[in-house]
Amino acid sequence: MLLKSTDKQKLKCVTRSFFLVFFALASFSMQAGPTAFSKNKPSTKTVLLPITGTVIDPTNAPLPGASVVLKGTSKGVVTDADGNFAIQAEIGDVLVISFIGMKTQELSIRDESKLKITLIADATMLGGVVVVGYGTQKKSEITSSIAKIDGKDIETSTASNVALSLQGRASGVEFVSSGLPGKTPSIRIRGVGTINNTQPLIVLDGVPVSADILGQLAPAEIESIEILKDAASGAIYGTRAANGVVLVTSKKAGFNQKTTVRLNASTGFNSLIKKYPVLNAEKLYELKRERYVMDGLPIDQNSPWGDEYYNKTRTDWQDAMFRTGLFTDYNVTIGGGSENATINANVFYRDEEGTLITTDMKRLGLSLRSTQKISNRLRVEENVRISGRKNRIVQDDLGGSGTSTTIYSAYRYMPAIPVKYDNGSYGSGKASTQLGDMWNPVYKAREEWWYTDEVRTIITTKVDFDVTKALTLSARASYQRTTSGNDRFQNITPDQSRSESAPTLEDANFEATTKLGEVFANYDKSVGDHHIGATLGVSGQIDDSNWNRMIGMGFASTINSQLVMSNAATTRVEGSEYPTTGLTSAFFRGTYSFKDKYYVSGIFRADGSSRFADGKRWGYFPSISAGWRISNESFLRDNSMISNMKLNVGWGQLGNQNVDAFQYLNVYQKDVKYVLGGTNLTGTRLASFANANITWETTSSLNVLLELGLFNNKVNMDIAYFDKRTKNMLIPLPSLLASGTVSIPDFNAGEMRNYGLEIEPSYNGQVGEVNFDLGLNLTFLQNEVTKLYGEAKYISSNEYNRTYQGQAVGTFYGWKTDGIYQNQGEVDGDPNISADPRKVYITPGDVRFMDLNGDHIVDEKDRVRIGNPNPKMLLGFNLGVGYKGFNLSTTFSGSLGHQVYDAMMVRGIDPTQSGNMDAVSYERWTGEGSTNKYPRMSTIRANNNYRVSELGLKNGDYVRMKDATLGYTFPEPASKAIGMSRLRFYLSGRNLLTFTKFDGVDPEESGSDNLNRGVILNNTPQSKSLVLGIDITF
Amino acid sequence: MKKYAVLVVIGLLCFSCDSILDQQLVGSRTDEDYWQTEADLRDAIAGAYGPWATRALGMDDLFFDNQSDDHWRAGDHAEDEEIETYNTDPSNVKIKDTYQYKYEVISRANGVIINGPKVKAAGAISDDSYNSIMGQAYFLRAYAYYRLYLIHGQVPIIKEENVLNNEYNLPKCESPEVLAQFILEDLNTAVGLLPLHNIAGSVGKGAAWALMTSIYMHLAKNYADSDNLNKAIASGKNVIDNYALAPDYLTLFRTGNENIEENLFLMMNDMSWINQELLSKHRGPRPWGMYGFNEPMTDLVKEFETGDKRKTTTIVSDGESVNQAGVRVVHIPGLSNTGHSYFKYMDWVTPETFNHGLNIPFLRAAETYLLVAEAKIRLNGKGAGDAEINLVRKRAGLSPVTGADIHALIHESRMELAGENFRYQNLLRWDKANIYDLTTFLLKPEKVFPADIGRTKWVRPKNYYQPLPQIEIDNSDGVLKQNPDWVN
Repeated sequence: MLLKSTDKQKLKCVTRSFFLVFFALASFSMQAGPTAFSKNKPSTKTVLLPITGTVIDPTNAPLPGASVVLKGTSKGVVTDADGNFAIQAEIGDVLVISFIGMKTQELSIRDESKLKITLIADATMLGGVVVVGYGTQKKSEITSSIAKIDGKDIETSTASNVALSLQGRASGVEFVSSGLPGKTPSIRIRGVGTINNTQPLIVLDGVPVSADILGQLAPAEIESIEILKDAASGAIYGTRAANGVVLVTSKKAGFNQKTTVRLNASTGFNSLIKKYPVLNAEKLYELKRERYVMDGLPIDQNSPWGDEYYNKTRTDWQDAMFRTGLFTDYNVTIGGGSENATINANVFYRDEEGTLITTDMKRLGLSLRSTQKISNRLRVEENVRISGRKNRIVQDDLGGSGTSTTIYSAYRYMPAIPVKYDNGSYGSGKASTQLGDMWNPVYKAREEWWYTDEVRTIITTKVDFDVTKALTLSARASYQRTTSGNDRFQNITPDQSRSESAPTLEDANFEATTKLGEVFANYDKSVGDHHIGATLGVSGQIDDSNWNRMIGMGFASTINSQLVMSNAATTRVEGSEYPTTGLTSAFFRGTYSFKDKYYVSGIFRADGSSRFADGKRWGYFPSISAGWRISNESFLRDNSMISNMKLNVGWGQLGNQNVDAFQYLNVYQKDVKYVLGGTNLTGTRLASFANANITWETTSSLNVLLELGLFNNKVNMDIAYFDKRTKNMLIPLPSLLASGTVSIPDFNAGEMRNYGLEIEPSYNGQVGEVNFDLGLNLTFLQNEVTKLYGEAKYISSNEYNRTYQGQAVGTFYGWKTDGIYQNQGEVDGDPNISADPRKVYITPGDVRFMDLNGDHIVDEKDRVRIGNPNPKMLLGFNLGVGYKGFNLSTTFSGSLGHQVYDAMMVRGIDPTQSGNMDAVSYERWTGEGSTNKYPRMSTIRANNNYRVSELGLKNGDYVRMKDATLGYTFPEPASKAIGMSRLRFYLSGRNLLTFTKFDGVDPEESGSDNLNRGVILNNTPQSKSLVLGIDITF
Repeated sequence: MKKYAVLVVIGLLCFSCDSILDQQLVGSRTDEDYWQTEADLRDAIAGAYGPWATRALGMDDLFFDNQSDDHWRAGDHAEDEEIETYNTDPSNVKIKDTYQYKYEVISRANGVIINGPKVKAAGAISDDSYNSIMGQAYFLRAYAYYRLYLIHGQVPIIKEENVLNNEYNLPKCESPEVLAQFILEDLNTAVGLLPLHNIAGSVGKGAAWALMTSIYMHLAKNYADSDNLNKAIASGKNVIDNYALAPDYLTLFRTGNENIEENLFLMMNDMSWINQELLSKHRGPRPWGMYGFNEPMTDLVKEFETGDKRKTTTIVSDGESVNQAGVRVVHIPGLSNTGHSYFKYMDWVTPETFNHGLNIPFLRAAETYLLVAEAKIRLNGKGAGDAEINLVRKRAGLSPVTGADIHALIHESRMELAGENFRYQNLLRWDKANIYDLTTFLLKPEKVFPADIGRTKWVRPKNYYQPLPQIEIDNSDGVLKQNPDWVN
């Protein structure tokens, strides 16, 4: 049994509510009977005729899936793939033909002749239906900011994570990730809302899930992704919605849908976007020797720089460490439905080799979505998915700042050292510490291993019961189980400069379980010009998790087959259970519209969270929004240019409960071991103080959105202004040494503001036979930490970024520079350092740092704001062109108006660092007038030329073509001739083009930490890929 | 139809899942369920002993004795160099660490002092056990403040009521004497609660008396401050009357030393359970598996009298050999910079395996014997301390002295306690008592390691104390003031 007994009790409550609902549903079913809705005509003698027809759109394209219903009855069918339908009706009956996004038509049956029905677009149904959480709404009635990405737009993206395929497709949303395949990026919606975790809530088919699931979804299984960007939409998820909500909906089959099999296979390769320019051995040798000359010292003959061996290039380490990786992806979808049941099955497999040697990602998944119509009123849905991912990596994705990381070694390992010596042993830098405190990276990649894996299972059942035509009751139960592991082997390496003390095997496992139960009712009714919608429900969720790790050391044999824990000389086990957390909620959403002109919507959610103390648990999250379709007013109704104009205004409050549980209690933990009176004891200590008042962060958000459609909605423009203000932001208190090492919980004392503008113009139209689809999205963002500790104090966890009140989060702090001292006169006469005790050590060729406080000493007091890593502007651009069977689509994404700190380069031009140097270091100062940019070679660090300063600050702006697809779909007769209903070939690429002035590893930063943004160091770089795919539907 | 809909909606709203919100913290304990059993209290007192092995004393505090003339720091740590050359930057990492971890001990001891009565009230513990644990908590808190008193002079005093009110940002106490009085009060309380002899690893009354003796000696305002010296003699007499010296000096520093009553307070360790190697590993040559810090100066080595058995226990010099678990190993030149290594804490299990399970004594009765002798000499002149000095000398295999003066006492003290973290603090006392002038004494060439000659300057009164950690001053928003001599 997977549940613990304590959980059982907690689940009882949820279960109880289910029984309540099921009994209610059952009793309804029995009383109401299976045909409760059909208002049958009096039983007169009638003649049923077989009526057939085709439903098409204005371009003559068939509309599969359109609904054809006999008016006043429940009798109806759905059109097939060719838009055809057949139904029994009698003369005089009225057919109601409807399709999402089209105006519904009614047609009286006059005779048996074949019908041809052309549906035209419905302006008020523009954009179709949008998933809004616990239900759907017509796009036209939405009064908040929700971005919708259609599944078919991303189905050929080769991005290894679904979230990355969204880059550039929605305004206000930023996706930042390293190049590690499968990794879920940090998703920032409308700026950095808190200094803490800013990952939005991810909801898959109605079930809140970990963001990591996005690395285990095949693009082909996605129907749509909705991003709730403001409070007016997000409040339905209350205390988890402050960072926005991403709703992922997977595909399911419709009733009466012919079974189709769709196969998608693609293969291609990944490669490095660019090599990082470093020196060869000869130039490195020259520069390292030049240091002594510049310092007036004899060359240290005991160092490598007195040894000609190091004056010869033997290895290009980037060639040795990077490769072209193969990419293979398969996806099979089988879906169809009868009158009373549907099923959609999806299987995917991907094997993607990383650009770093030996690294790869394999993933495999199966999902099943089925629906049964038990009666006309009762439907049951099952949704089961099991997916797994396994990565082989060579270093932790966190990278770290150390020089021992594999990426760092790949750039910096000595070019004079061969990968392997003639005797077969790996090249080593052990001879001198100046060769770098690094492992031979090829050794590290090939002879040791590190796997991370993850298996996720989600099982969901949903029951829908139509109480009346307008009122549907739903109940959902979901169970999620995640296991992830970390298996790693590190060997003893006496011939390398670093070594483990013994061969070490690590096997770590993490397990998490989430149980969710909810019941809700949806009401939707139109009366005359009035349309009312309401959603009301309750939800309960329990999460628990634990981890354990076994470390085995000392293996007699280190061949792979013998590396099992039982062969370890000593083993150590660690582990812990995380506290179970519970969330119980009630929510309401009401919408009202009048004449498709005036709209109003309100949401209220109450969330109770076990993370907080009794009395602090419940939070209430309201939102209200209103819309006015100006284009439906009489003065614009017949305007030939403006086809749609709608103004929406919304406000609401959201919470962020991403706070460690139980911080409201004093926590005691086992700590050091001790022996008293011969008894082995594990001493206890007070590990953390209580903050009885700790609660969630609250974000108030204002949203103003103007939707504009011109020329029959061929040109559209959405303009949104938003202002998000976070209060009660959790900030760390400076801990006093006088409280020992007891950790101090964060306090709800900070405030943050993000405001900006989103502009999304788009065009879709035709020129001759060429279809165009153009979309631009621009986001202008401003971030300010409005309250922290006052003026003077800041938060910082690295040497580059500081977060101060009144400034943007994670601002770069360092020294301002003013070129290079060109001669001794400049040093002697420089007022910046005239009182500086270090002045005697400063020589021409050193960096001139600026004294800003006027004491003529360059010191810590002169550190100032030198740059901002937060982009002021995000850019996305989509282009689609279709001509007959050909289709070209591309997406660009960019970050503009920000800086990055190139810590990799700063280390690479510092000749006192061990290891290889950057190619630009060759442009160093060699004498008066040689350069004003890069300092001289020296063995001395007296001026600390490589401190955090403007020297390492670079413009980080870039625009990158993220996805590009060129496809050809064979004409239907041709594909039918070989037994397929559709056949398409495509070529798809990712990251094929980059426009940037940044000359470092990669301007696309990878950090997820809001406080430490924009530092370029040791991250796995992005790769580019090109694949050839085939897409067949049977 | 409608009435059913209404019923169901009401049904949905009626169930409230409060039980979902009642979750338990797992793997950790809280105020709600800790402090209920004797085991809770016992684990808490074990927790208060734990930090001494590492940052509270073992890793940091011992390095402040580098300022003495007994040993040189060795190693490659810049922060050690600052300390040894009397030029500590307030941001020095050892200053911060040792300060923080002493307050960690204080936090743990305060936990026991505040919450122990709850266990007692619950009837979950016997009186003897309760008194012993509470006494140890008062002693350990006193010892932590004692080390802070010696190093910094004045620090904030975090008492029980401060903990209960969550007050940690406090000004430092008004004077070193105020801190000393607080420590003495704790020690008096500890003496009242502790048994004379406790279970192995736990302190008894003797440790508290010994610490009181030391405090009174440090409080002595001048050479013959009769008030404090008499108090030192009185409390020291309790130690002398109840705790005999061990017959064999070496056994004090080898496995099994927790059972020797002379060892009043020691840091427990063993290979199988605690295995806290840092403390035992710091001193000794790297090729022998240690870290090579704190190398004895030739000046110290030369002071041993011929025939002093303590010499071979304390120090191994170039050319001499030691017994590494049955194998003789020669201390070859180059193993240490000074040519000497402390042997006191070197204990081998096998020639390759160093004993990381050695218990390290922090307080020995012998120290108190010598403090009493010193007090008597300072009050009553030459020969007044002969009895105590000769007890110590007898064990060392040396002939008794008669009419020993203060310098003979100082010599005996240096030999007996070499490398045990007393020398520099004693030198400071002797400077205050006008026995030495450290401004010249510590600059004598034989007192300084050659690499440091010309780089050291000892300043009175600045170097009586270390600065307070800069980060604490920064974070205190002006509440905590730096020691005046250390303000830049």
